[in-house]
Amino acid sequence: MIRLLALIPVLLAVSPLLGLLGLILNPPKDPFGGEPASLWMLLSDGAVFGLLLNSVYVALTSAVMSVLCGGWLAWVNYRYQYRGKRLLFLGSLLVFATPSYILAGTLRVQMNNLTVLPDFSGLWASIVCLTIVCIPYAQVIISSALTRLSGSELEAAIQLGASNRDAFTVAIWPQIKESVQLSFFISFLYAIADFGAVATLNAPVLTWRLYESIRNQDLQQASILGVLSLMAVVPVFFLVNRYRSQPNRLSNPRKVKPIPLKGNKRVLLYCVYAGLIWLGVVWPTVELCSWVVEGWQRGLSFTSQWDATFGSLVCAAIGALLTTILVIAPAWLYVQESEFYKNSTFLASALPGILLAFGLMTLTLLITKHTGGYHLVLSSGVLLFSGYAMRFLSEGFSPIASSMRQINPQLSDIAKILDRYPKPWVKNVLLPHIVPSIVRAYFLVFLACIKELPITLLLGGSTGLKTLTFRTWDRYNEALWHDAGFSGLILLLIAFMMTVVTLHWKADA
Amino acid sequence: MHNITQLSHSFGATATFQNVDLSIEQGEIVSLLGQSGCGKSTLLRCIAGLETPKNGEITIQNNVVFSSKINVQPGKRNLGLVFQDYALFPALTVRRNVGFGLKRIDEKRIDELLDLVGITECADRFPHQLSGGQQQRVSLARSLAPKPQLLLLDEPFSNIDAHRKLELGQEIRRIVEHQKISAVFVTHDQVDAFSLADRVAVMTQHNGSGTIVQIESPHVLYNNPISPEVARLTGACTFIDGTLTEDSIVETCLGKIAIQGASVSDKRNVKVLIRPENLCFNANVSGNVVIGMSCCTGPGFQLIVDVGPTRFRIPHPTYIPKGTRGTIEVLAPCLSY
Repeated sequence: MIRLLALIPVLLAVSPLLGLLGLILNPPKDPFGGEPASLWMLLSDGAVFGLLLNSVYVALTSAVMSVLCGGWLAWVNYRYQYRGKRLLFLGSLLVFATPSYILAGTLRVQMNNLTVLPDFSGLWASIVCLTIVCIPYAQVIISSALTRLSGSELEAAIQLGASNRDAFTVAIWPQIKESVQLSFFISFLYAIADFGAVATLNAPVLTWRLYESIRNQDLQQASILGVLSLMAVVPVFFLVNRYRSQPNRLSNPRKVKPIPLKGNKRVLLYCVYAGLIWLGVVWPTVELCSWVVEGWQRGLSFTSQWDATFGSLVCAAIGALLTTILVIAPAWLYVQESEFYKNSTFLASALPGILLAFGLMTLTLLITKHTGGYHLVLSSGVLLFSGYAMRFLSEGFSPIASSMRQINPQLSDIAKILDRYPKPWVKNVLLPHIVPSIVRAYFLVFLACIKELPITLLLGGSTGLKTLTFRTWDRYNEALWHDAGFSGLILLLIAFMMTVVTLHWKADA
Repeated sequence: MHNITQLSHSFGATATFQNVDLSIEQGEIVSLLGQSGCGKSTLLRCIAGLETPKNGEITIQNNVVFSSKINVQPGKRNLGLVFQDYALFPALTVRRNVGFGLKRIDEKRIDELLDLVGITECADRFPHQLSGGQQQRVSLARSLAPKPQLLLLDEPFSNIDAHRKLELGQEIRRIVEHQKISAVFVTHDQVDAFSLADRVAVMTQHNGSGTIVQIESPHVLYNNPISPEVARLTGACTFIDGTLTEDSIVETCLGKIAIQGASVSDKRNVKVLIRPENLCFNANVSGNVVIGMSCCTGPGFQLIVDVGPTRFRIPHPTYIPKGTRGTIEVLAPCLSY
């Protein structure tokens, strides 16, 4: 039974790939009766590879910059003591809550108001936005590696007269190198899969052009772009997996005593934190507020936000519930048996949301071609929630699997010896241990679902549920900024609250 | 009576132990003594049913629980198991931990066991609120709750302070006798094995897989180990090379030593087993050895004396300063190999 349940995420992981493959092998007919372009013609179009190069360039640059900045912040946080340390660290993590399309939209308006700067759009603007969004990822991954280190090596190096730089190079770098590489690949994956920022800033990259191709009903072009996206993502996914499987270091190491941060370094640190929190949290909030206030001052009518707020909450709640339920079986089998379940779960989540949504759509189209009922499937929300589940399986998987790994395997041995396995063991041992992680996983996935844009755009429209992400996107593109600001502001508030709850829960757990 | 006959186990192509035979009488405590990696814990897990042996037979109270045709589930073997790190269920109180193995909650039985192991006052606490010794007692009570016929203990004293070990060992002995059951416990510590067990089975590794090489009472095992390896496992010892010059007399670096029952016809070159308590240091200014170090052991002192490449540790009731000259006397006939 548990194996059958664990196979669902595996099937979900391969379903968009099947859809994509089906579309390539069985291209749709031209609506105007013309000959469809051959695969070779499409592939030999230089513009397509230009998009791939652009995507890689944006992802690579954003990943390098976010790792440099996030890594430096993590190191300073580990090694030094300064006023407001905890508050600034948590403040910088709030950037997690800001959706990339809101960040890009608000920054674009603000930057374009500063006439001295060039137009804030395209590739370089996307790099700025994605760097800001990815910094917390790098910061958290590297901080986590640093906190697992024993301070003894660093103190021994300093005791022997090594300079700070030498001590870092000899005692710290060899131990955190793999985590830095992991943070780079995670940031790369995030940036190359991003849709919101690149779409808002009209950057010529794969995900945005893929969406445009789908919107223009050019499914053959979309399938080629989908394959190229896969080519960019899958190798990096395997690299991420390689570094993710590195063994943990000490579980409860002796921490290094932080030294006071003084002089220029302290000024620089406060400037970086201020810049990050200002650009990633404060500025988007203030800008959205200003759009709402301006609309109110000009007497513009506001659309009621109740339905969109309700729709967002319902979609996120159902998506998070489904995802959390789906990850329990593969997490259990991963801990007990094989890496296969982890890899398949993470593969689904590594794919760009727009590609997942497109793959699901095409697979459903292929299946319902003869049976009919495509619109029924689409409007029932099955595809939307499957899309959410596939995209965020890894977010739910990590906390639950990590909590399951902490259970002493001898506890189940004892239960077997006492003939109280599995039911009493699950009730009295497993569940009390993993419930806090399940709740945390639920909050994490809820936060991710409520911010999600491309899957909601492609698969959510037919359900009849209005969501805040859809409304923010829609109104922004129609230049109804007061409405977009209102929706975006509610979305940001919910996301900030969920982030605080998640961080608080993490601290408790 | 519980029997293990010709039991073998392997992890893939690597044999863990081979052809193990062991009998445990009713009410007897048997210790499996051996170095890490010799397969003693795996043997215990095979008896418990948590690992599947390759071949052989296991009978518990004369019922076959494992053979080539039968493999009874762990929960149906009527065994108790105590792990070295206690493996208490963290979300359950002591009372619920103890009652976990009971099909129906039986408060009277739980109270009886809590009383038996002496932790009645901790009944409503959680495992993290207990000391190591208390947790071990809870673990013991939990394993005894379903009235097992055989109790298995895997390194039960390895997380206990040295001064508590003896006390807890005696407690376990009292409880096992009170419950009229048998016990097998695994340890790598000779002192633990000798203080608790009626018989000690020594496991060693040969060609990568473990096997039981000698089963005896502690006293016999200590005084008559069948090989140098068993001698080293069963207590402090030194081996010196010697040449058999006449029946039961060996010429060594300590002079002529009497050995137990060996004749010149057996072999000329032998290794002589010397236990520390079989040596005596006599201070003498014209002696041929010098004390290299004198360490306090509490009740007395240990004198470190190097004779050629061989180091001797000799117990002595009083302090003798470093550099004192003297002679080493062997008090009783030794074993030779």
